[in-house]
Amino acid sequence: MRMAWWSGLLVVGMGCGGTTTGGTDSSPGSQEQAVEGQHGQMTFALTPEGTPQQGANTFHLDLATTSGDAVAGAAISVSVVMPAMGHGSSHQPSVVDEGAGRYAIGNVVFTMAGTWEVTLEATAGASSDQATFTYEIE
Amino acid sequence: MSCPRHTLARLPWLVGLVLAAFLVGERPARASACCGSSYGLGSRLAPAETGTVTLLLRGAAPYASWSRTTEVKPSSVLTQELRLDVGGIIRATEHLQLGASAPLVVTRRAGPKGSSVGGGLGDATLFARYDVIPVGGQAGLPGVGLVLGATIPSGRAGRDATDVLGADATGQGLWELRPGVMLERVWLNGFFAVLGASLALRAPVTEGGQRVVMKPRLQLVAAAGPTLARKVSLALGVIHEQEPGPEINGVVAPLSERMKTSLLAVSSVELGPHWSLIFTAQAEPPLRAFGRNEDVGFAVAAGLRHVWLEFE
Repeated sequence: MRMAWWSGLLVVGMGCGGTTTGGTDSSPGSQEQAVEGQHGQMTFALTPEGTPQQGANTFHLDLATTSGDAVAGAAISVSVVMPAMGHGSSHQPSVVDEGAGRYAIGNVVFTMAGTWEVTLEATAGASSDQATFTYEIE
Repeated sequence: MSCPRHTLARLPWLVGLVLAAFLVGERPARASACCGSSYGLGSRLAPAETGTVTLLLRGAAPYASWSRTTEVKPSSVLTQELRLDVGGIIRATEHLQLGASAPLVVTRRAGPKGSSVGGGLGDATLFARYDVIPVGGQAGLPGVGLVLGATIPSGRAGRDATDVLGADATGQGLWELRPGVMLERVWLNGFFAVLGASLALRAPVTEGGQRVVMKPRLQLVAAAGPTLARKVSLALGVIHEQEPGPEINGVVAPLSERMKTSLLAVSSVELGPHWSLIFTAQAEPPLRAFGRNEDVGFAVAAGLRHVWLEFE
């Protein structure tokens, strides 16, 4: 069975679109990573449940405007990519809106050790932004 | 592997198989008077051989990986790969040889989040070699062979793996052509040396609307060793591979280039005029300077080779 591999696109609320390249690259290592989006409209704070490992992982995203207001009801798309190998994950992540600008992102699958990038794209109303998080999977 | 580490991780093993095939390629009774040794690199037949079939069983265990900053990171997942390669070569003309091989792969992976087993048919390969200067050398020049390999993506790519640990990935999912050149030299005492270079050219793929272009992967091989009692050949070698980072929608991800250096040992033992045993061992030194964005591991293999000879 061939599964969509590059972009696990899941929509919560309204539809979303735009590119999946670029974004602000954050430093790997810390459990929570918070960055400002590529377009300077939103901040993304991504926290893994435990240390990200090979296999399926769950993350929690706190999405806010740059002034600090929570962004609820956004459409979130998730892309999981291993750049050096030129491929993504074979599994589609799931996104659940937990309210108040918090989103649970499940089934983020890293199938092998190495550097992986998780790119999030958020659209809420007329605002759209994206950010990329890097993880060294052991 | 791949990607085992995809197939790119498998490439040194193909070289190992090839080297092993070469080591048993030269029949002592039919070799030149200078050597009577087995030597060579790149899958080929010895001058008196018209065809060969090789069966090689290999076990591999990557236990760490080089990060994008070349640090060696121990893996949290234990990986064991068993691979059976079946290959054959025929002589089409005096100078031209053609071959093919196909692997069966079984992988077990176990980590903190569970374990899984997967496998199946891997990527098949086709092979051609044209001897510009005969094996062993001529007029003071080393033997020169032009080689061309092709990988058919008959295996399951990592991006198509359904197992969350990727245990069912058996191939790289890309068409590949590998032009290259092999230089071989043998001395009177049976000592031989081989140098090889090849460039893996991968076809672009489009997945999920993203165009991925893997850049050419350079492979350099050097190996040398003695022949003992005209029956046993030994060789120690080094394989170095590197490639720039891939382009994803025209953008090269930073620090995504890949590189690894492996140590290789190969031996062959002649059982008779038609049969030989081959053994290989390969390991990546777990040192920072030896790799980037690749697996670190070791593997051993044993195989059986049968040849058909002229004038039989």
